[in-house]
Amino acid sequence: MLRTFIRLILSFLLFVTFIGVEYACAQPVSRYEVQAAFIHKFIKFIEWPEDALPTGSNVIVVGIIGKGPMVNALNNIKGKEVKGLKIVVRKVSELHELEHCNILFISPSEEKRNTEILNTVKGSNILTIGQRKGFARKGVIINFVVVDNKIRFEINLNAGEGAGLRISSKLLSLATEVMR
Amino acid sequence: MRIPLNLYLIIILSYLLLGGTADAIEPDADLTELSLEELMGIEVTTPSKKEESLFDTPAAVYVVTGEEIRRSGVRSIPDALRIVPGVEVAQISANEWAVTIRGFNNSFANKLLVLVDGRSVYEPFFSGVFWDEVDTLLEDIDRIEVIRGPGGAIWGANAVNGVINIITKEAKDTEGVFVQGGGGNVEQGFVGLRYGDKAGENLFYRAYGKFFNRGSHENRSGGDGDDDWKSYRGGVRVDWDDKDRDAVTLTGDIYNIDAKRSLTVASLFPPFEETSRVDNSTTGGDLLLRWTHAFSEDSNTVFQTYYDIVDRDIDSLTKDKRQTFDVEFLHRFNVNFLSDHDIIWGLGYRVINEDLNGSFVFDPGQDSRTDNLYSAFVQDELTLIDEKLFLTIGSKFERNDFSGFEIQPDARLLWAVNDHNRIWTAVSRAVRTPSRTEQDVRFVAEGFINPDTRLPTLVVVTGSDDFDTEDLLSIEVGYRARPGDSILIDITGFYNHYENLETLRPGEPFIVNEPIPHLVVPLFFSNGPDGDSYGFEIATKWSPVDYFRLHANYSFLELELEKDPNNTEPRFREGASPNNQIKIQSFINLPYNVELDTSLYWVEKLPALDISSYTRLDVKLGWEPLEGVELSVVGQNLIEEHFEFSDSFIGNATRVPRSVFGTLTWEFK
Repeated sequence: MLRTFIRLILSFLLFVTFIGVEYACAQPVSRYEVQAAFIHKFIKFIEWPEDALPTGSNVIVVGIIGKGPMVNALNNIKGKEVKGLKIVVRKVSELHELEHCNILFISPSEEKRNTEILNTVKGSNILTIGQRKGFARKGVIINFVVVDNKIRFEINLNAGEGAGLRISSKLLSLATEVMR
Repeated sequence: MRIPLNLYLIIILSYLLLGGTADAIEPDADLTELSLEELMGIEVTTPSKKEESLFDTPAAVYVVTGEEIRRSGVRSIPDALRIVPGVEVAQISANEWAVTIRGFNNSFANKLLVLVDGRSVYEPFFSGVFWDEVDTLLEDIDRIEVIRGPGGAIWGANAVNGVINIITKEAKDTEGVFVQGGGGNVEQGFVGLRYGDKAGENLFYRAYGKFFNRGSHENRSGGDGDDDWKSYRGGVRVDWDDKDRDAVTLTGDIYNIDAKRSLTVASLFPPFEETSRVDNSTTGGDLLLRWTHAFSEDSNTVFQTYYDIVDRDIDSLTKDKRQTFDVEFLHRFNVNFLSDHDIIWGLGYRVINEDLNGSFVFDPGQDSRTDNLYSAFVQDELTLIDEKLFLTIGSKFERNDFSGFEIQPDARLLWAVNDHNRIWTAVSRAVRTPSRTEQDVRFVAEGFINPDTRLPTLVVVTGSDDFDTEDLLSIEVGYRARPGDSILIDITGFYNHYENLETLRPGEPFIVNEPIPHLVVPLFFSNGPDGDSYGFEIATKWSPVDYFRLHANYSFLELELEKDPNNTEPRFREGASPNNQIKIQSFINLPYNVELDTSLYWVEKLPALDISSYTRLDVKLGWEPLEGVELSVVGQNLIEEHFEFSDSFIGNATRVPRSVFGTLTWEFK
């Protein structure tokens, strides 16, 4: 009985192996890697006020608060250059460290501290990014959402203007929702 | 032709070693080179929030999603549970199932709690679940969450070996029209309908109806098993959510089941038992209201109430009408005192009224009885080391009319080793509380001629007020790993120590003169020996490429029940649960919108019930020629017709047949 069972499983694996060869397809990508790539692109389509980026340093700091797979995904964009700025990724755990960031990704694990975090960065020129339903409404500037297994984003324009950021119309046109 | 086993292995291994990497995308593909539009076109794997939190749950949880139910082609909830590690699903007859977790299986497995959208479907009189009554439009099921191991601290009594939560989709996820019809050799026609719509900014609703007619199986001698049945069911769900603070859900169902059973009952006259085809008609309904209110992000409450009524009429056995009213309240809040605490506390009240009519073989003791259950619950999830170590402690406190006060504490520790690994351990106490069956009822189990006295003799299983709670103390250890985005491994080991397990203690025989002189041998329900069980379960979910998903699960269970010389027969026997079970499910997307889905189950023999080991293979071939239209053919139990369990109190066992059916589904908005 058990032998028959093993035989069945092996036949089955064989079958899958063969269709695997015939029907090769792209490996699924994690949402976090795509989000990291989006963050890399946002730098190009968003303008910070001149005094927000320290002159001469030529870096842009992407901070991430909280835990989760996004921490690793951001390593993929670390060191890349956009608009002559080199991306530095910094893991933040204390609220007072936030001020050194130009971009802040708020991990879903920080749900509870969300309001606290947003209050801390209020008035500073930080592009806040989240990935939780309803986050944009709560004051995060860009919020990633998944629609039909694809990454989309919502933009809270009010919050963006509050942070002194100029978001390009191209980015606005691609957003699923723009809140004013 | 039989291919030698090792040849298979050689082919597969050589593929994996040589060709396997050829068509995989390079892991270092630089996404930053892509444009915004290209990024928007990439399909991603997304562990849902649910999956994320499951990964962090310090308990053995397995989830069967609605999509997996659709793809596996099953037509009943018990069949959907077959894949879950540690769960034993045995089909007794066409309309009866025995389902349990980690042993003690029976047509009324009494150590497993089952809930549908928060409403208990555990039948308190029989201490178990009528699985023919647990149903809905399967396409409305969002997921089935199966928690193995004690859940008494949260769910209360009878969640001894596990809890099954059947959760339906929100009305906003079922907008549009759904029409389904099909049939085959055993599934002799089924229809499913649903209509869902938006009725306002924040208001969604749906209504469904379904019908099926299932043919009978064969009995032991190859004749008609007399277990054909029909089921009619309909219901509604309304969801209102102001997207800010308040959400209200209302669900309701009504159903009617017209089932046949082959029932053997004892009698006073030769041949001392009668087997006949009996009618079992069941009518029932339920109505549930749930209101969730958030005071702030850190504090919310849930208020839930439901009413459930069922009327069962089993010819020559009993007529049974049960009504349940339940109300519960939960409050969850977060405080920071020395460390971070997520606290939940709650209160509950349930009242059950059950009216029963007797028959020759069944005497309910009291015709009508009303029982109350009061409960309170508190749990604290505290962070011991930030992002690393979490402790959950809690307990349920209950007062019931059968055994009085019960306390079911539980402590769980979760260690987040890193992003990809979790280790957890738990110690818990859970109880199975007595039911009316064990305290009030007299049931004639067997009749025969006593060879010494030549008197007709009846063996009567008799309830006893002395029967008390069965206790469990359980220790569990679990390991969960997500080495990559495409693979999830979950391993749980457990050791359970049971005390006061149910047995039947023989009493002093006595003579009764009506209707003819006969001897009665009473067997009293009593708390007998202790018992131990241990085992482990391995669950793996693997999706190496987006067109193929594999679930492979294994469970091992060993039961050691102490022998008690005073007891003729323990209710549950060691050999009534399989030691080993292997469960494998695969989902393959083929070109031209074709899906090929296979489920394979191997269940080891049940020596105590004389059931040999069996392999069950289900295959579904589905095709979506147009958006929203699905044509499918399902073959179930294709390998061998076999028995899965022994006769039960309400029906005789029949052979699970091979079954094939076709389905047409049409969905549009």
